[in-house]
Amino acid sequence: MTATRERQRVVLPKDYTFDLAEEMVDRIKNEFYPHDTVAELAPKVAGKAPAEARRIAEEHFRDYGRRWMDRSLELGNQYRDRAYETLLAAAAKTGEMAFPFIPERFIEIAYLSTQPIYSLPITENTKNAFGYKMVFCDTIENLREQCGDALADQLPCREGCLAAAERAFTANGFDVEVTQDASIIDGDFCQFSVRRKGA
Amino acid sequence: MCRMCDSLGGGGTWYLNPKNYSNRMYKLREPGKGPTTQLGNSANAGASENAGSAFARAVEAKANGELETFNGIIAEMNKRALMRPGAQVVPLHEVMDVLDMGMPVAAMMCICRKGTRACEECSLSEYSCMGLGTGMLKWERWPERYRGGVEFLSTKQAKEWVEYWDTKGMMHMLMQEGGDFVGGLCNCDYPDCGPIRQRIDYGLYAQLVKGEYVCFVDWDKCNGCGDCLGRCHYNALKFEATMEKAHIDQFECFGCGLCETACPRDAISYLDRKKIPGLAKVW
Repeated sequence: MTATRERQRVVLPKDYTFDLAEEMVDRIKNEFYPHDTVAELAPKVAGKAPAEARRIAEEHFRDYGRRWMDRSLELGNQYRDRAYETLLAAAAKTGEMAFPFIPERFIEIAYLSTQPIYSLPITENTKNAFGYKMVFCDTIENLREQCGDALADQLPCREGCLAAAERAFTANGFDVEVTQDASIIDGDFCQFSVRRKGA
Repeated sequence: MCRMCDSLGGGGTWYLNPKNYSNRMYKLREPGKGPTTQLGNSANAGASENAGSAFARAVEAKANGELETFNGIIAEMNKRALMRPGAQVVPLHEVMDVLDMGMPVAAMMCICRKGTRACEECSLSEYSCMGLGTGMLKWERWPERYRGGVEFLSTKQAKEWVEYWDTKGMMHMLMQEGGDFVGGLCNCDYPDCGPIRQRIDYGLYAQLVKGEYVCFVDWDKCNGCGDCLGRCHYNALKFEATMEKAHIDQFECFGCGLCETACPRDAISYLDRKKIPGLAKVW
């Protein structure tokens, strides 16, 4: 090995962007801001019996979660970054890594765009499982403020997170089971796990 | 030994806990802060810089014959690093378990070897280090560290690659990258490896923690062939001329298992360090 040969193979810095596009983050934030979706829900549940209010809220958040992730998938593919391109190339080369990392990217995009966090704490990302937790959640805070503690304590918004996580994986061709392992009502954070079916 | 086992192990060996390989892909930039310019998370990067600076002063003191100053710096560095060791020796069979977890793995140049030999590894047949986790998806962000490129590997390819280096006599260690995240798997030897040299030559114990095991020779099986001799980087293995058998000094053994993988008669096995009273606190 000669010094000359090494020099020729140095990887030069390029104008790559490794971060999420700010414009994409702003677009998703504007369309799926937790305050606004809870504001849409509030009149629907006002004056309803607790069980009915919960049913309506859960359906509202399920729909929100699906649309939120669909938009994150759409814009996430439109606004690509170098880390994503590297992931796609590595996944194609190795035949592995698509699970869980490709869906993980869209889940991170969804939460980072709409919640008051700078990074999403990942609890597991291995070849058969993925998990994350939400410590600072604007949705539950808005739910408490706009719809009251009684409904907020039922945590109907969990349906949004469950639906979004499932959508991120199924849209990328993975058959998964999504569960909630911890609740911000009972503790300090919500935690969700995604496991490949049959694994 | 330390918080690696106490709080990161989850009831078992810390590096076999999938949680310690979990990491985000993205981070939004906090207002007023610029892009990340250092490897690892910011807290660890700062700690590494301080450690590097202190180590440079220790080397200078040693070179100048200022033994008291040298010992003082090393003692302080050991005290600071106690709660967050840099790397731990891992035997081949547990490296296989780690690779089964399936995180992004990419073979790359060894930065220690670049420093000691002033040459770079530029292809898969030359690379001897492996980056683990989602951080590898952004390797081009640090072109100087990754000169020569990287090559992403499937689990099967990664296992074969590590086995190759094991047959060549390279021991394995997992590197903690701060933030309780295991970010690298190195295939190392003395004297090229920085952590080994820091431990052996400078007494920086936390830079390279001994493995969870110690190796043991079954003299009923050992026929004295000597295939294991020369594999040990720590002077723990010798040939007992009076018995014509291999012998391992378990106080010196780091538990890398290179002797075990070389033995054609399965005469060498692993003992759990924590279960041996005299060794349970020898890390």
